[in-house]
Amino acid sequence: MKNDQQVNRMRRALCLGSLLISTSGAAFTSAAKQSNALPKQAKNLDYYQFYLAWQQLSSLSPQEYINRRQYEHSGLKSSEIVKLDFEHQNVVEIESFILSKYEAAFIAHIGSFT
Amino acid sequence: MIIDANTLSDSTNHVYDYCILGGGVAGITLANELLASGKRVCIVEGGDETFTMESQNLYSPAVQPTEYEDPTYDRLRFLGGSSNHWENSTSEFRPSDFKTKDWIAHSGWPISFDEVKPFYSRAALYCGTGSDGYKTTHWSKHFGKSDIFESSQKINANIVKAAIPPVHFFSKYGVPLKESQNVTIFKNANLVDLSFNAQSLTVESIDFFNYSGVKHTVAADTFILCLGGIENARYMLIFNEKYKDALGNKSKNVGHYFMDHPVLRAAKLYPKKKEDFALFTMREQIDKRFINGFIEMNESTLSQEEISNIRVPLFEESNFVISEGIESFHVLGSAIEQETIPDYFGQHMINVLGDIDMVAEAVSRKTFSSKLFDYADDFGGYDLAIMIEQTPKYDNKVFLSDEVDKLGLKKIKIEWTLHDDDISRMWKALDVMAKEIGRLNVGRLKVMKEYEERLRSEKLFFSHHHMGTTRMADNVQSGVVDKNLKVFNTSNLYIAGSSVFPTGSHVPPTLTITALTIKLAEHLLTEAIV
Ligand SMILES: Cc1cc2nc3c(=O)[nH]c(=O)nc-3n(C[C@H](O)[C@H](O)[C@H](O)COP(=O)(O)OP(=O)(O)OC[C@H]3O[C@@H](n4cnc5c(N)ncnc54)[C@H](O)[C@@H]3O)c2cc1C
Repeated sequence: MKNDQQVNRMRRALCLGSLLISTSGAAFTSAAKQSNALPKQAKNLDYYQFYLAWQQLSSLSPQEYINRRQYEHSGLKSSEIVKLDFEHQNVVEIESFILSKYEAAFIAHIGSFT
Repeated sequence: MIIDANTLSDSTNHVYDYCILGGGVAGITLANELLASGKRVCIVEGGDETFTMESQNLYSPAVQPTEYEDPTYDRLRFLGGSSNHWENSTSEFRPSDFKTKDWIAHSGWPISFDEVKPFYSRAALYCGTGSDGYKTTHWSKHFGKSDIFESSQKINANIVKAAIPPVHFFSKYGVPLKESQNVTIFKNANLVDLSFNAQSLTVESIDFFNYSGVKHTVAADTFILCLGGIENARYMLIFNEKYKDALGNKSKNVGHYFMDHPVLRAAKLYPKKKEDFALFTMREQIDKRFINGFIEMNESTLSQEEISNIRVPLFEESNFVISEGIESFHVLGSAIEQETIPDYFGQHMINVLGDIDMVAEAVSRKTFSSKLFDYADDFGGYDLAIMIEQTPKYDNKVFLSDEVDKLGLKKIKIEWTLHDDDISRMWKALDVMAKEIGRLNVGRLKVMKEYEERLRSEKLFFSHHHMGTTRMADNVQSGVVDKNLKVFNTSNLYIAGSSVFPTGSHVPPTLTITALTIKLAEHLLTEAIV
């Protein structure tokens, strides 16, 4: 098992190396042309990115937002607040996901610990 | 009977009641429907019974379209037409497809769904998909897969059926035609000319050439163009050059409003439970038919949101398959080989670096034939291949060039683009879908608006459904054929095929082509009696 992991690490390094060598030439030539930063599109999402995105969306911290919603809808389960959000178009787009603002705050809240 | 025009040496005149030009889906269906009437019918077909290069090359355009695909090989030019390699996916159009939509210019058919509906079940028999209909409630019950959108006012489940193997119209329906005494199929017989009497408004005859250039003339009471969505326009343009736009082209509509069903890969669905979506992933087989569900917008949502419909089948994918990084890696790789810099280079680099595990996995699989990361094969959500209804636009067109083909006929050019309003309507539809899927709490949608720039390149796929170029309308100002498919300002020239569709719906066209062709046959036979 340990051996396997080591082999994999080496393979990964090798693949990465070959990739970087093959693309760096083109990257270098194009650098001058690519002045505008293109929209960020990360695949392996990290909760921290949700937290960063949340900060652009709201002046409240995720924790404050969650508290406020729970206070507003006391008696409702979280899943019901999420449903309400979708019904009332209270949705946000983070990293291309269309999410209820309440659930987005939850994810961002976890990300805030990172 | 079948006659190989290549074996005819002398120029001869032939006389028929009905002369069908083109032996593809529409032509073969029409001949079959007319068969029992005992009328003299001929089919003039440019190709042979199998593929030949000399026929296929006649489909090549003067220049390759810049934004559309090469029309040389997507269609097939021999008996059976493009059904020789179609996928056979069929669904019925919705009633809303026929209605005028205030928010879509040039929408609305001169006939309603109710006028086409009676012909669908016979059309489905031709398409090999059976007469048991496309009702979601029926199939969801039949297979015991619940329809999670049954109560939704926003989105629906709809059904697609396909025959296994796909029906090749000539192989399947050609035998009775070949054996019949009243039907003659001329193969290797290329339509090249038409004689129109401007006084009586009648087409008196057509000419065809075999591949040695021997010309034959066919006179008939009625002529029906069944050459496919691009060639119908091409020949109408050629004939209208000769007759100064007399054949249904007073308002210069021929060739315009060219539509396809663009397929855009721009969203992913992450289900809460995969079982909830079983209706859409079941791919069930029954009596040599394949049946599956897809998601679409509810008809009332279309007017509420002022959008067009979309057809969304679900494809279960692994992290490996949906990897953007691998896709970008290939784009970069081939660009480097050609020593060029691809469009959106920066974006591709970001994709590769942001998804480096999967890129490394791909390299490892290729180089070492072994896996690197087990999670690569894990379920990565459903990839949505969104087929959109393209709206009719005058500037999307098939038109004539000055270059001629081997038969001396002008070749076509195609100008086609995916317009911004179609893209924004798709985003809006996906937005509605995302909120509804969220509200029902069955999953979440990822809508990749950041692909916007690439929706006219790597994220765009064509369906090869050529529609709209000889549109059906109430009058010659708005179209080329009337509601009975007769060309305006003529007494005996008809057109069958998806070129007559004023709008194209969001589902494949051939079931509706077949239904309209059966309707046309009924009309022709009734008219003959009158
Ligand atoms: C790859 C592919 C997949 C498809 N998949 C589907 C699908 O899953 N579902 C669906 O609904 N549709 C599908 N389609 C579209 C479907 O094939 C067409 O809608 C259908 O074939 C159109 O029928 P038609 O009779 O109008 O034209 P065609 O079938 O193209 O027939 C035209 C006929 O005219 C002949 N012809 C052309 N020029 C001349 C001439 N000058 N003289 C004499 N004859 C001539 C041709 O040889 C041909 O036989 C697909 C198409 C392609 C290319």
